[in-house]
Amino acid sequence: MSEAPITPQAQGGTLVRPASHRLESTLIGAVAALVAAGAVAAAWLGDGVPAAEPLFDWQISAFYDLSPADQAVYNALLVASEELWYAHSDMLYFGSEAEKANPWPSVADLDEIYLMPPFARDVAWQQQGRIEWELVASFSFEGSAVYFGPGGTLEEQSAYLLALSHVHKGASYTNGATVWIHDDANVAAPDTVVRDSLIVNGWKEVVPYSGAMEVERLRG
Amino acid sequence: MMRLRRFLRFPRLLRRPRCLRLPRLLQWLRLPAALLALAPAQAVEAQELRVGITLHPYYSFAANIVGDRARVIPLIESGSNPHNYTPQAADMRRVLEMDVLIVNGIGHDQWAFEIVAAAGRGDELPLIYANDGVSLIPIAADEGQAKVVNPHTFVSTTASIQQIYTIARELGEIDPPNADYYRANARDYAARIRRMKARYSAELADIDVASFSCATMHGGYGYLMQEFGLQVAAVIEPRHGVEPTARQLADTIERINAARVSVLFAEKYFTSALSDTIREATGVRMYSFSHMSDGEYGPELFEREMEANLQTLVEAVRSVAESR
Repeated sequence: MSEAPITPQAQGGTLVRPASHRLESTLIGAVAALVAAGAVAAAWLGDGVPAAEPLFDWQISAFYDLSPADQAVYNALLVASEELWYAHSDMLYFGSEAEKANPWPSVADLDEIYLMPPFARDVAWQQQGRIEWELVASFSFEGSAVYFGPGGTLEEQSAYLLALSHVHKGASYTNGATVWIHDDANVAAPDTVVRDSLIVNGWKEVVPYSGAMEVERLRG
Repeated sequence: MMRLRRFLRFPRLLRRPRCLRLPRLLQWLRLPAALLALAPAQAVEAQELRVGITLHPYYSFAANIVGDRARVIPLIESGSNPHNYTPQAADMRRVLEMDVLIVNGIGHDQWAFEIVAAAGRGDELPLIYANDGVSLIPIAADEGQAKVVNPHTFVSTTASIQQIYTIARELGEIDPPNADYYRANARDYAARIRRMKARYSAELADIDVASFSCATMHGGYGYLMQEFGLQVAAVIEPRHGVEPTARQLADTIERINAARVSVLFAEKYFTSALSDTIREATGVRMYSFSHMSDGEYGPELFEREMEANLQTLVEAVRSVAESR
């Protein structure tokens, strides 16, 4: 015959359980998990990883989508565009009669005089597919010019188009430049650089991830 | 009163700085300031623009653009490491002297914003974001991982030229009487940098560089390599000063061996025991590049350090070619 255990209840008392701190432990665990998740998110978001910009289907990101060679050519074109406008202005206002009539530097001058990438035939030009640049059009009445870069010899290389034209901003206008690329490195030069026509013919506008976008991401 | 006179001399200083938004009430408080700016014109004419900069290359850029028509003031002492800089009280005093501050803004001088805010000028000091128009690239060889922005646009010639043009244009907006002078200086300076690059590029013209593959200790040389059409197969420390884990290091060594990397570019002024480990494990040759953020500030610093980098690059490429 077994005896009933002697418990506080059996003696009419109340059972007092030791404090387990289960609730506190759960809360601390949850807070720790949140902090860890926040740290991971902050590290990911704040460590130089930009969110991809939304693009139209006729655009392509220089940062995410271009091959190293295409990216290098594009970046060089972007800088060249600024200098080309300066050169254009010099030729238009201070040049000879011939320069005033066709106020854009020739590809040969960009190579030999201006030493300007990606037109300069230097080691980078060799490494980046030996593109055969041409000044294909010059419409002085609207201040626009087009430098066309077909014939790249690298695998999966694009053809390039730098279109320089005035961009209207309200009542005034400013100098602008857009860069387009085509999957076929040997595509023919376009007849026009009107956007819709380029799109229909398979050209894509390259969009940079610029310093201004990164500043916006970092500083808000 | 001095500040108001400067507003008259450089009216664009009244413009609200980008990214810093003032409450409407505070904007109205600027009206009396603008009216009080009708100070004696002769006293104002003697004022020179005071241009602040955060990093060594920006000192050179600014000094070559403004010539003797403005003063360039470094925000922090020379000899400080911009990668892990801790703001000092003296920095705030220097901010108070500046009319405008040129920043990298894309991750290499985030401490500058702390200093400007601590000095109480966060709402009114105009900032020139040198990289505004630069097309950024990811840190090289980060394959398989999220693409990380490379903020070292100043360790290059092409991206530096774009920054020089941006700085000249923005300074011209702040100081219109000197805008043409700044633009002309910027173009001369850019041409000089292009000629320097062309000289070293010509030295590589007779060398087969197609198979040249390198690794770098630091992610700072992607723009420089890009403009020479050279490949970076691996970056040991994509985030400066953050050493890789043992696993990451092992992966990197494997990648260096697989890509037949023959040269590792370390940093001239920052040593790392890791470079020795990698050299022993892979047999690569070591060369050192300047990060351009050390030494005394000076107008010639960028060209001097860039020239040293280009000499190093040519030497490395030539040595690999000759060993084949």
